[in-house]
Amino acid sequence: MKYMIMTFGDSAAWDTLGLGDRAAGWSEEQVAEHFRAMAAFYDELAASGEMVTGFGLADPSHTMTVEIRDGRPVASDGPYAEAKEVLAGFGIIDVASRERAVELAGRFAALVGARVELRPVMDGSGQEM
Amino acid sequence: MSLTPEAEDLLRAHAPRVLAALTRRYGNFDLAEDAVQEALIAAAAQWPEQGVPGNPPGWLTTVATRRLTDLLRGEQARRRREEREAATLFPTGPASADDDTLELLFLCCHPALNPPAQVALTLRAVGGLTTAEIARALLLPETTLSQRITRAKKRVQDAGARFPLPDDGERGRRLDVVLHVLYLVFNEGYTASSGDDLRRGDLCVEAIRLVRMVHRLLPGVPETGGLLALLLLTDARRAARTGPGGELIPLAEQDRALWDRAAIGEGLALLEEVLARRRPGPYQLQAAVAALHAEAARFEDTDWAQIVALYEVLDRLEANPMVTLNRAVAVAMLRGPAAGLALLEEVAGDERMAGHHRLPAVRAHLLERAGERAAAAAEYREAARRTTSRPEQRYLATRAARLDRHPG
Repeated sequence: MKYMIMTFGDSAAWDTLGLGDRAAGWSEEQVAEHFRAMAAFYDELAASGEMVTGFGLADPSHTMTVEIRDGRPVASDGPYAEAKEVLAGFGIIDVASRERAVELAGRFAALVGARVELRPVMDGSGQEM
Repeated sequence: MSLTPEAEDLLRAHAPRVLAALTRRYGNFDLAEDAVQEALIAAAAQWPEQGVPGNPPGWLTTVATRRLTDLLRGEQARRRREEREAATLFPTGPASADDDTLELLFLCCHPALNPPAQVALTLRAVGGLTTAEIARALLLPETTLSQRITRAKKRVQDAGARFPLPDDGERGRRLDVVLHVLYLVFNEGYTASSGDDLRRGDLCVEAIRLVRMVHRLLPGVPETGGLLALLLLTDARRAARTGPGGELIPLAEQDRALWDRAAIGEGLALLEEVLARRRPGPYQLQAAVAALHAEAARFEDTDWAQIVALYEVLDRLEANPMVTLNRAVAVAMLRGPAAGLALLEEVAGDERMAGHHRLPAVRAHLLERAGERAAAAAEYREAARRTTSRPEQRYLATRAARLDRHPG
């Protein structure tokens, strides 16, 4: 069964890593160690055949909004969220059980130092109705 | 050019035997599997142009052995050790091609693997499907699947080298796992067949082919015949269970003229044969329920009394809230929706049902039949929220909307 693991952060989180507009809050070693640990976690899941895909998202200042106005799609920059938390990254895993998904999400939460959300992904199979 | 279906069947039939023979001889299941996979790809490329060789398994063995020798040469240091281990992994002695295939199936369904790994490895090593085909069918990226298979093969190699081959008792337990894995393969493919999902139906065909093979090799096990009958009788309804837009059609509304009569005939004959041995099991009982549906010319003709009795036996055999749910549906058909709803209350508190969509879905269905349209619509919506299946969500949401539009 497939699950999406989502991590959240405020824009300060990107700053911490030196990816935002301001100087990095972490030392170079801390940033390097963080990326190393994340890469090792991804590699482990890729090797076990449980990683479907995963990406970190760019700084929220790059966000665009697309909506339908008068029947036509209109794109605009923003929102530049005041929101405390925005989606920072996601991974889709395919695991044998719900327990395994929770276990991996827990390790992910420890790595990013923040709570993560876990949501089952809909699939195309169905039982006889 | 591509292979004719006959040539493809030939390849798929011989692949596990060649793999087992190579594994037996060289002791390295991991590399032998890679070698056979490459021989299959070579056959798919060469046979359409050069014709099917006179001795297909001989051709495959030669090509795979050549490739395996190359692979082994690359790691000669490991080779001696692996050859020694081979002696314990696969005891020498004459073995028929059929025994080889079974052995391979037992290996792929090794208890050291989790079910997704067992499914992937079985489809490739015994089913002879390519990684790309399996990845498409399981809706996974090819890299994910190929890593899963690589990992599974290493695990089997490691575990197999440590443990002795299963004795008779272990073989029986391992057969249970094999049947369960093939049941999972079938379920994985039993889906609303629309658009890109069409290929998933191939998994049903493959599961039936493999269960048929196990049944032929171990004819003395009634549950194998029971599973084969269950899959045949269920798959027979495939053309009727989805509408033109891929939407699910419930049993009660299916056009029974679309059911596959040949598959039903085979399933019924098989079931009769295994039931006569008087060693019932869960697969045989589920097949018996499917058979009663198959024998009813119209939904109204269904023998609900018999179905209720079968579910009662099944519930006693392995108490399971899902079985109780099915029993509630049958009881409602026999004695009215109130009786079914009362039975549902028995499982409502069961932890295994918490959050599952089937409970509100069944409750909605029974409430609708009882004329409680508003309550039914609410339960349909609850079930639609809980399911992770897109076709089911579509069905449940549509059902709720229909009741909302025409309340009581």
